[in-house]
Order: sequence, then C-alpha cells, then structure tokens
Amino acid sequence: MKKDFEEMLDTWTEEELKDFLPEQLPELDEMTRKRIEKRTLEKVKQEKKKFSKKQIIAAVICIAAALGIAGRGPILAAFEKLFHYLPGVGVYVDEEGTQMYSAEMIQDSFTENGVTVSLKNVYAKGIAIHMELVMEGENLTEGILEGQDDFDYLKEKYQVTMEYDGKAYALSSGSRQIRKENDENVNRYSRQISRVEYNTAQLYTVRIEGFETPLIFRLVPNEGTADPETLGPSQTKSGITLTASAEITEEGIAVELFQVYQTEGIQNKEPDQMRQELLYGLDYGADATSEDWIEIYNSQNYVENKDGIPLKMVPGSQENMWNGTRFVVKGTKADFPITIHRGPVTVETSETQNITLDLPETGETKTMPEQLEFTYGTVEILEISVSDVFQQKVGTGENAVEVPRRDVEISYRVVPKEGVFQMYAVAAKAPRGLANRVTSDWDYKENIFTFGTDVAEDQKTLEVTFSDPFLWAVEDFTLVIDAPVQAE
Amino acid sequence: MDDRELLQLMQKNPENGIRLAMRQYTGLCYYIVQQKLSGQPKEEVEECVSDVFLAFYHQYQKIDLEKGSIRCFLAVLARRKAIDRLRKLTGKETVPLEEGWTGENPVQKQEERQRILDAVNALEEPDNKILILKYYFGYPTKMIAAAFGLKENTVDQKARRGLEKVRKLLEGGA
Repeated sequence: MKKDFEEMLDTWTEEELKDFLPEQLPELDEMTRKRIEKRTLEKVKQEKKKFSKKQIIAAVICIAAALGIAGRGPILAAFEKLFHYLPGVGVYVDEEGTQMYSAEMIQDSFTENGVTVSLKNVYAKGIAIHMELVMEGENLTEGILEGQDDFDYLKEKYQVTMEYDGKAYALSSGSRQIRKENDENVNRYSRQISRVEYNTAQLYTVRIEGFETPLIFRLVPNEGTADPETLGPSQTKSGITLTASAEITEEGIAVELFQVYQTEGIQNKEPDQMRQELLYGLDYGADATSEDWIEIYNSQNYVENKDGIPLKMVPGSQENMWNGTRFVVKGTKADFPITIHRGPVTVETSETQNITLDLPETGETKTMPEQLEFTYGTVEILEISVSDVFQQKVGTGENAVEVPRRDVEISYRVVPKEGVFQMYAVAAKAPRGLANRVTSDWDYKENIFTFGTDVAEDQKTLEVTFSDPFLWAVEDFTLVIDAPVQAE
Repeated sequence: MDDRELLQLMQKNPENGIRLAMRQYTGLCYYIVQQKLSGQPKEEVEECVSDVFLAFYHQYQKIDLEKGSIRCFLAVLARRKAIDRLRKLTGKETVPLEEGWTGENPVQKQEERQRILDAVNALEEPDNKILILKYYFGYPTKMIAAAFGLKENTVDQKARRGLEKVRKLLEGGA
C-alpha cells in the first residue's frame, strides 16, 4: 500500500497539495546545498547564450551581496584541500597523504563518423571516480528539433555507460559545457562525470551511445608529489606556486594553469571568473558599470609568444576548474616558447569569528564601535538599526497566530590589511527570522555590506557569525613554457 | 523575502533570484527527490534537485500567486523531476510524466486525484498532514515528530494507521 499510495500522490498537482505544505522547511547540510547551487548556476550560465559584460557585473554584485547574508558553514574547499588534482599536469598531495588513483589509459580517444571522443582527467579519490568526456565534431546537435534544448538533446543522444565488475552503469553528468560555431552548430561538448563507488582492481569500459569503439582505462595508485614545482613549468612567489602546461590543439594552444598555496589555510576560491573579474574593477577603482576594468584585467592576464606578441584568446574557450583555469589562444608550435602573464586571483580561508551585538531600542539606529580582526583584514561593524514592531503571521489555518517582530539591519565594512593576501569580503550570518525576509546590499565602492533578519519584540542582543573570508592574492606571475606537451 | 518579492527579483536578476530561492527551498526539494529516488546514488539526487531549480528558472513566470506559492510550485516540480529521473534510471521511460499529466482523460485524472485527496482529508489532523509529510515531502520521522511535538514511534504509528485507513477508504470501506 505504501508504494501504491506514493504513486497515487505522484499525480497530485498544486491544487491538491496546497493545504499540506510544511510550515517548517527542512535544512540541508551546507556542503550539499552549495554543491547543488553551484551545479545549477553552471547550468544556468551555460544556457545564457550571450551574457553581456554589464550583465556579468550586475550578477556579481548580487552574488557578493548575497554572500553578506548567507553564512556558508563548512566550505567545500575545506574538504577539497586534502589534496589537489591538477588535470593535465599531475597530482599534488599534501601532508595528509590521501591516496589517489590516476588512470592508465588503454583507449583514451577515437574518431567515428567525424566525431572525436576523448576521455580526460580520469582520477579517483575518496569514494568517487571522476572523469571528463569530450566530444568534438562539426555539428554534434545535428537532428535537433527546433526549440529543443541543446543540453537535453545531447544528453539524450549521447548517453554514457560504464562497465566494470561485470555490470553496466548509466552515468549522469555534472557540469556540462558546449562550444558553438557561428552561434549555431555545437562543435564541442564536454561533460564532467563522477561515479560513486568503484573497484580499483578492474578495467573500466566507457561506452557512448551511437559509437562502437569503447574508451578503456584502469586505475593505478598515484602517490603524487608534495612539491608542486615538480609538476611542470612553475613559478613560486610569496608562497603561491603557479604551474602550467600547454598543448597544441586544432583550435590553437590550449593552456591549463593551476595555483597551489603553501600558506596554511589559503585555498583557491571555487571557480568563479565573474567575481574575480569584477574585483579587478574594484581594485582599480573603475566604475562597475563601465567596462574599463576588463582592459585592466586583460593587461594582466595574457599569453605572449616568443616575439612578445600577445596571442588572442579563442572566444568562449575559457573554462574554470578546481585550482585553476583552462583556455585556448590562437597560435602554433612555432610560437613557443610562450610566456603566461597572470595577475591576482581570489582565494579564501576558513576563518570564523562570532560577535554578540547589543540591539538598539525599537525604531532606532545605533552606530557601532565594534571591530573584528581577521588575519588578512578587519570587519568594521558600522550600524545596527531596529525597525518598528510589525505583526508576523506564524502557522496556517486555525493554528495561525500573529507575533510581534522587528526587522534588524546591520551594515559592516571589510578593510583589507597590507600584504600578499588581502581580505575583501566575508560572509555574515545571523539566526534566521520568522518573517524569513532576506535583505542584502553591497555598496561596492565603499565595500560596505548590509544584511538583515527579524527578532522578537523583547530581544536585546543578536549573535552574528562572520566566516570564510574572501581574499585577494595580490601577486603576479610570469611563467615561460618552452614547449607544448606532446599528446600521448 | 516573500514570494512576490522573490518573483520580482527573478525577473530583475534571475541568477540572484535563483540563489535566494535555492537558499530557502533546496532542503524541501532535496527531501522530496531523495524519497522518490530512494536507493539511487546521492549524485543522482543532487543532479535531480539541480534540474528542479533549472526548471524553476525557466518556468517561474507560470507561478500564479493568487492560486499557489513558490513553495507549492517547487514541491510539485521536484516530485515530477524525481519521477522522470527514476524512470530514466530504471529504464522505464515508457510515458513521459508531463505527457501523462497533460494527455487524455483529464477529467478522469482529476477525479482520481480528488478521490485520494478526500481519503486523506478524511483522516483527523495531524494524521493527514503526517501522511503527506512522510510520503510526499519525504520528511524523516524525527523531523515530523519535532514539528508536531510527538514521539517518533507515535509518528510512525500514525503514518501506518493513516495509510491503512486511506487504503480502506479508497477500496470503499469505512
């Protein structure tokens, strides 16, 4: 009956469900929630075909403003810091010495029907095996119906299975990216794929629907290295190691570069090109509504050939990855040695500080003297204001009651300290109010964040947590790559 | 932020809007999907929840606040997406769910839904709500117990008995 009943409920619409909505929404652990949020935003981003620079700026302002009220709990990066996998370059293992497996590729690519399929960046850690499946061809979405979503079509057309332990498993994709030619035909389709649970003693066979040739690999233990400089061409400055590789492709020179931090507690921010780009604008005092900062960004982040001529980036080729980025510039083997110029990037730490703030009287605003010292910056609490009392409805139906509440709004400024790492933002969290109002703002010129919640009529103090600062790593690099990596 | 403000934000800045929507409702959608995809890998659950919000991003303009709420819209969306994914995962992609809902015999389907609703509503409160929280929203017993101030075994007992009563009602018994 339980199963039957559940299936009956499957047919319910909003009309049937509306009287049974839970009053209290369940919380989800922050790590999982952030992972889902990140994946969703990636999908959204992919679908926005033309994202103007001004739109980028607006989105970043909102993202950072939202961070002011979010409070992110244990961050994903803290989990990831056990080791870094640097796709295409190697494995860096920290002192924890976590066991990783890299792949011994038996068949890593093939070409059928004009489509080249390759399996890249295969590795296993913890409970999951990870890989990137790339398909390249003239028109991968040939046959798509008008109005049909590219990703839906590609996913359906090129379903992936992996065989091991004598069984076949359907694989779903995490992050997916496409590249289009003339804004029409998809000529590159890449998918990040993870499979929880694996058996390292097996051969793995990956099959893509519509193709006869399989991709085959086995996992082998990889002890990695504790010295990131041994991974390839690299440069270390102020405890930051930049390492890179370059490969000749049909489109040009594909560059992958990664950053590893030797300073304890510092790690790369989740890939977030938009935030980084905006901060270039902030750092140089450019008006966020102008596009001047993009020129500044480009003047610090570029690749030049042996004659000192900057190589143009292939539009749409940039992809963010954990610990780094990948992009393609127009060029050939004759351009080597190439020089990579890299400006500051965003990093983060997991520092946390709590403070109890005295609330002013109802309807009043109080200037605050409190400051919180973080390693790389200072949080100055500026003002706290409490609104007049309002009645908030709690519960539904006969159980509904009105309770008196007051809105609280707090503003704070983040002031960076001098040094290589400079804090420019920090997440603030206060207990969620009953009104569940989410207010936030960010005055980016003054770097002042504002966030709010609501409290009881007689509440005298408010606990606020500031955590996970965002830092600006103000170092720059000039890295020479003598020759491209030879394709295996 | 109430529903109206959130929808306005979705219009003005969809990415910020979806972030705020996810901050509030990821837990709700996750439990619904998790219950439906019971036994499937966690990554499938997360991918499905992500698809729910992507669909929300595309469809939020359909929400009519005069008749419903974002919470309700997302709950139904989560259930549908989970069913679709389950069918794909188990190779039972016979009839797309959307098609099933919008296809023929809408009157019959509506009557069927009403019949189930009547049976659930025939239970006393909070038994009817416990049943839906458990079997639609996928709330764990502990969470339901806390919401109603009951012991966990009482919740399980009420769910079991409620299910039996609904079965009898649907079969035409008392």
